[in-house]
Amino acid sequence: MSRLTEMPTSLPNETLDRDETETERPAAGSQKAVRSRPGPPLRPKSVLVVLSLSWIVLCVFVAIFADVLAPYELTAMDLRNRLQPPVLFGGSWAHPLGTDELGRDIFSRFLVSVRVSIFVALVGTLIGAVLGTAIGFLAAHFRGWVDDLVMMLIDSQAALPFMIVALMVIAFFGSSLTLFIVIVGIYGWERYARLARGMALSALERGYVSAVRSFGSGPVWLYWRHILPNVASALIVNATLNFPQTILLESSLSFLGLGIQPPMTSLGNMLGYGREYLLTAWWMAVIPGVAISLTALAVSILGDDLRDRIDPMLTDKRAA
Amino acid sequence: MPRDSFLSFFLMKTARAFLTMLLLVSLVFFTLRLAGNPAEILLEPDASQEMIDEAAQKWGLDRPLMEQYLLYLRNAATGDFGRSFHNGRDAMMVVLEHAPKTLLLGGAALALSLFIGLPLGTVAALRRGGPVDRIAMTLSVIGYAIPNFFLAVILMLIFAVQFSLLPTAGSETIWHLILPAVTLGTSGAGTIARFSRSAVLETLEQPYMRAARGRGVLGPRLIVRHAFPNAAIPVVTVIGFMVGGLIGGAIVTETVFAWPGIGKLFVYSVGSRDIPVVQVIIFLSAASMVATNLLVDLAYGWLDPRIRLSRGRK
Repeated sequence: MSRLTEMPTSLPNETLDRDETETERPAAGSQKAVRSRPGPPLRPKSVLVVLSLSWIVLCVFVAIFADVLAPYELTAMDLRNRLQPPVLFGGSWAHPLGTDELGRDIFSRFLVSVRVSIFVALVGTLIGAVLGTAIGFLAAHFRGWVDDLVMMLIDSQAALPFMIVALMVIAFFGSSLTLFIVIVGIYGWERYARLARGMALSALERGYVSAVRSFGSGPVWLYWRHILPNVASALIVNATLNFPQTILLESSLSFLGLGIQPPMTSLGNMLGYGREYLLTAWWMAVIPGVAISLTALAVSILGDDLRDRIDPMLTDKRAA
Repeated sequence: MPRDSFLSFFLMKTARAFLTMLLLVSLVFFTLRLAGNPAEILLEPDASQEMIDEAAQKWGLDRPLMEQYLLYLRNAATGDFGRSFHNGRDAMMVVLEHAPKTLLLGGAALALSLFIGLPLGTVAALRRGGPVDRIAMTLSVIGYAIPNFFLAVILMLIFAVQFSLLPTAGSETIWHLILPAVTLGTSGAGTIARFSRSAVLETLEQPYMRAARGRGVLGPRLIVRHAFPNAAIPVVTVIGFMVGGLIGGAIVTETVFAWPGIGKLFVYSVGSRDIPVVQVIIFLSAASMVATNLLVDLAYGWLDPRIRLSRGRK
């Protein structure tokens, strides 16, 4: 397989330690003792994981209850109180995070933005995972020219930064929420496809597959009931590692004005508009920016932790 | 991988790279044509049907799609990528005029990434598990996780708004280069730090390192002469892909800082539906990635004697 198809995928995956976790694990002899314990001992890393998890839970809570929590309507303007600073920087409790250039409450907009950004990234990740896995399974099942074609498509996708593809399609076909989510969803399909293909190919060699086949199981049943559960953990890890990238893609596109369109709002969208008011109202850009960074960071940390726990490669190595 | 000879391996790789490019160029061609008649979109909304037809004829858009496609491929093979819909100039020329700025920005960012990332990653690996390692890796995660558009905003706030030290738009002087280069270079520094740390750690555990230590090779010489050449392979690969992904990676940074490179031109061209220019930029971006891939393969051979020797032996 050409390196072109391998390397870019390992870039984001490599961002969080692989070696450290492998080598920090106890030696092979003490494996059983460690695994039977309910959880690993508390280390600085675990604290970080707990913090990340709390942040994500908070974000999900905000995303679900944004309507209830928001003190103002999304588009409610208060033109006499434009560009008010947050409460700790001389503002009032009427607008805890200040107001924007139209006097809209930033706290309320922020809550809705979190909802939109998380929704887009979540649905997008789901689309990518399902699409990529299905394509990967198809390639593994049919082999031959289907496999060749899929591999060529994977190569082509890997050769072109996805930002370029997304910008091109959205600009030429016009931005709608549906198209935007689909585009964000397509992002990263080639990673799932490559992963699913490779793992399905190796699963097909295993004994249980021929056993299931000898019982007369059809291919759809075989992949859905037997191969998918066996490869799911790796796919979930890949999805978690892909998720921050999806958030960043969404916010980059919205930041450039090609993603979520007003009057809707998203974190990237808020940051994009806030950039215009850096001189007079820095908080407009900094608040959503901090939220994006923290979310990307938190999901990366969780994804890394998850991989350490259930990565089948590591498990295989342990068993060997 | 074929084992008969390096030549056939090389040829197969080249053919595959060529096919990838062809597939990509074709996909992009048809995607862009699917978006509707470009002449209709290009002209003012109140343009008459005659004006639209005339423009379509001028750009050859009235012919059957397959004919346009074959013509496009034939011309592209001779280096003619059509003319910009906007000013009628050669699309390739328009893009290449913007290349020096992107290369300057990318070069500065890469230099910064290496200057910070390599020492950081190496020191972290050598002081593994200690406070230096933790601080270095925390820095690199943060550098990687901060989205570049937010980093750009923060840098602008600090260095332009608060202290009025540096300009935030344009590319006239060397001062204009600093903020975009730092923006683009930070995530690269984080990535390189992580990769070089992993790579150095991995080499430190190899038997030849123990052998060198046993022969009494110690200190900096051990690291520079024995660890670096072996650790270089994955690091060079990452650097290669950073170079290959330069155009795509620089889009946001160039747009934020109004840096007149290819990335900014791309945003402008998709916005104004200048199809030939868009196609050239995509072609160049993909070609640089595919070419990087080939070069990385050659670099592997150069850095890793095992690959080089296995070639000669057969």
